[in-house]
Amino acid sequence: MGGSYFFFRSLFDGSCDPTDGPSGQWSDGVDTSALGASNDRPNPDLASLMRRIHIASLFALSGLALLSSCDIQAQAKERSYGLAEEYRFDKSNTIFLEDLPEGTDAPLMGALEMLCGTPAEPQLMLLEDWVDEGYDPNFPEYPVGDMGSGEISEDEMALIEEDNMRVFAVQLEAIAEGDYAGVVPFRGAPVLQAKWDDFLADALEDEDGDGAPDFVVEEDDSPNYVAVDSEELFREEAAMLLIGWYPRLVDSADLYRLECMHCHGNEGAGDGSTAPFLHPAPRNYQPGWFKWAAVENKAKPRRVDLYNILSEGAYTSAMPNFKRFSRAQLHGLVDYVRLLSIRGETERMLVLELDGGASLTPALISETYSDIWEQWNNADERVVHCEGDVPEPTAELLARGRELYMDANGGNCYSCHGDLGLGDGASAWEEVDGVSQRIVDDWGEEIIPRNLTSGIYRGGRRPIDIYRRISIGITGTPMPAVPDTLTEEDRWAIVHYVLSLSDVHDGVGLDSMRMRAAHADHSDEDHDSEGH
Amino acid sequence: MRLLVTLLLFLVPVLGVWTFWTAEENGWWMPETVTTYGPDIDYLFYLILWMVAFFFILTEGLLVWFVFKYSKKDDTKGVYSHGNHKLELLWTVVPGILLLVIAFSQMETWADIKYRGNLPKTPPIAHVWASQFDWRVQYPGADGEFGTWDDVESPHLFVVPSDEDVVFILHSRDVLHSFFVPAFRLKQDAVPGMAIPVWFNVDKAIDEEGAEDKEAIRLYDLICTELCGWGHYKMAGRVEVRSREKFDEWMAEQEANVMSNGKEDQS
Ligand SMILES: [Cu+2]
Repeated sequence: MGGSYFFFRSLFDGSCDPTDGPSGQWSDGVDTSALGASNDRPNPDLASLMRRIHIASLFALSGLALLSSCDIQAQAKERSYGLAEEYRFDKSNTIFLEDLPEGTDAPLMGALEMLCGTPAEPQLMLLEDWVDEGYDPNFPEYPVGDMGSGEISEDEMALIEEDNMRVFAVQLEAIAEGDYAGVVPFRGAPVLQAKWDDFLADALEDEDGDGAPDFVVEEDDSPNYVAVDSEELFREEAAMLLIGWYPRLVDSADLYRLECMHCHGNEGAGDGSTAPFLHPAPRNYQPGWFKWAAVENKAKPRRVDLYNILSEGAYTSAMPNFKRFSRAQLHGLVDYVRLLSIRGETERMLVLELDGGASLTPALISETYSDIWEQWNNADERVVHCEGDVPEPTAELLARGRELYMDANGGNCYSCHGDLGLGDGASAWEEVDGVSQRIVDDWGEEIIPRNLTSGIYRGGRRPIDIYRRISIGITGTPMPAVPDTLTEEDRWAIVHYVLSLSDVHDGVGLDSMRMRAAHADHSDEDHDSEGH
Repeated sequence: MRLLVTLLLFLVPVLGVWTFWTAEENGWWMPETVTTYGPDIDYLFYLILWMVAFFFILTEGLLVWFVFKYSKKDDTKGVYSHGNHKLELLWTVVPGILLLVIAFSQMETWADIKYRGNLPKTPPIAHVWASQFDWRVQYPGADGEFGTWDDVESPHLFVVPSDEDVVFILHSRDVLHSFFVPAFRLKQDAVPGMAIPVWFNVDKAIDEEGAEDKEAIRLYDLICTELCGWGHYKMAGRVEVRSREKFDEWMAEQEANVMSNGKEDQS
């Protein structure tokens, strides 16, 4: 208390020493004895010490402020990927890194780095066949045969370009006006930034010495390159640089570090710093299982599955939607998540082999890697859809749905989701050592069956999303697929019954009814029984 | 020293006045308003700003002057004062009158925007759900009824038609959130357990960059303005304003997507 008083006072009266006033008084003449304070002079040593502490703490604070404005990402960028300590394969098989034969860490790390690079330079190794085919998954926007993977269709690229025009509107305007200094930095796109800087530096060079920039840009080796030699052409090419932008893995790794890493972890093992606080836990990409994909149980997801979960989020879990990112950025994150997943699964598979006594040979490494790639590249073959259109929910269909919902040999939904869909079925619990506990999923986490009356579906609420959920189950959890014996119509019956459970729930229907009642003459008797 | 400190202190009101004087041309205030009631809100904003500015200058001026005048070091002891009754009356009555001016001048605008009795007589276009940390918009789908199987759900993006009254119902799934679209001058808390009807009418075709085009699809920031948890800072959404025709087009696309049988997945 006294310290800060001295410090601030000294700013105003020009004196830094509280002891230089008349005895028994503060230096501005207020008699402290009137305030009931001690008449003794303050201890000069203590006072000056306090003062120093305060000055020091002010310095420390401004130092902290300075530090926080520095780029603390720079340090993280240099980090390498690490190995997991624990590999959980299923409920009965967990391998610990420390149990592996001694001296396997380093070669394993080296192998993975060769396959997938480092966080600062993520890059997927090309398989031999790929080189011959001209296939390269590091460039999904280029066609196969042109050292790309052709995964981004022309239509999709057109949408990406449209979106880029919106995202880079400010920079594009500056370029169009010739205000090149006004091209503000591109956030989360270091490769694009470096490209633009080179491009601009090249263009502004004055080699013929006439005092004006030449606007000559060094040729690059891209197939549709146009020689740039005038300012007009330069502007056109510069605009194309931004509009046609597709993030490189380095760009996406940067964005991942900023937005995803704190939950999903540096290696995508779902072990980020905030992960312990979350339920459900953030996805661990390493087993290569993704809950909300439209493919068969435990099959690799398609790009569009990962794209959708990024853009829609897993509603009401800690995974938000990332629609605020551009289309290009989301595609880039899909690329990076796939890299992490492939790296992680390769690591797991190699650990399993090593644990079984195999040794780490180049053949084993590339075989494992290419097996995993094959699964990713064949994801389309394992997608679940149906032939007919979505039927209308007739009374008969709903009745059939209810029947299957309650049928232990049919949908068997009630056993976990409960008779009324409240998520309170008996099978969601198991007895362990005489204590009733919630059942767990393959990651070892407690499972709470969805309350189907809430109207919240993590994997999407379209009828086809629910159809897929009941046809696939949820990868890695006790939620199974319905038996193969159920026909498409049976499945739609369950879908419609499940969707009807949330009908007119959480006030939506009721409120809109109240609203409508004020404006129209609508009868809502048939919904009233469904309230809370 | 005394003069220096006074001058430094004087910088505070000078900079303060400079910031609000130049805020508009620097784009530091809110973006240009595009709704029917936006100008009324702006009028109130500037009314209050000018009142506050007057007293800011007055009190800061006095403060600076007093610091200069009474910081002289001498042997005089502090004087106890029991106040001045007339002065007290003055600075109670004047702000009182000003508060009444504010209270009366905002009443009509407030009633127009917030009173349920003044809600446009049009059925709600959507339910907007706030949750940690997500904005999700629920449209009734092809059957025109909310809470049924064919509802259309749009995360992050609230698409609305321009040049007509739009009513929506605001909810929260967990804690307090607040729906704020600066360009609309619309702010409404979302309260768990409450269904709050909100309305606006976008009648000006100006996008956030200031360009004017009736046919263009315009995007406006939607932000949460109630500290709602660790991810509050990223609880952002967007309102997309389209002409009626383009709105219907978008809605038809969404309805078709809901009816998808999974053969052709979107994205
Ligand atoms: Cu919020």
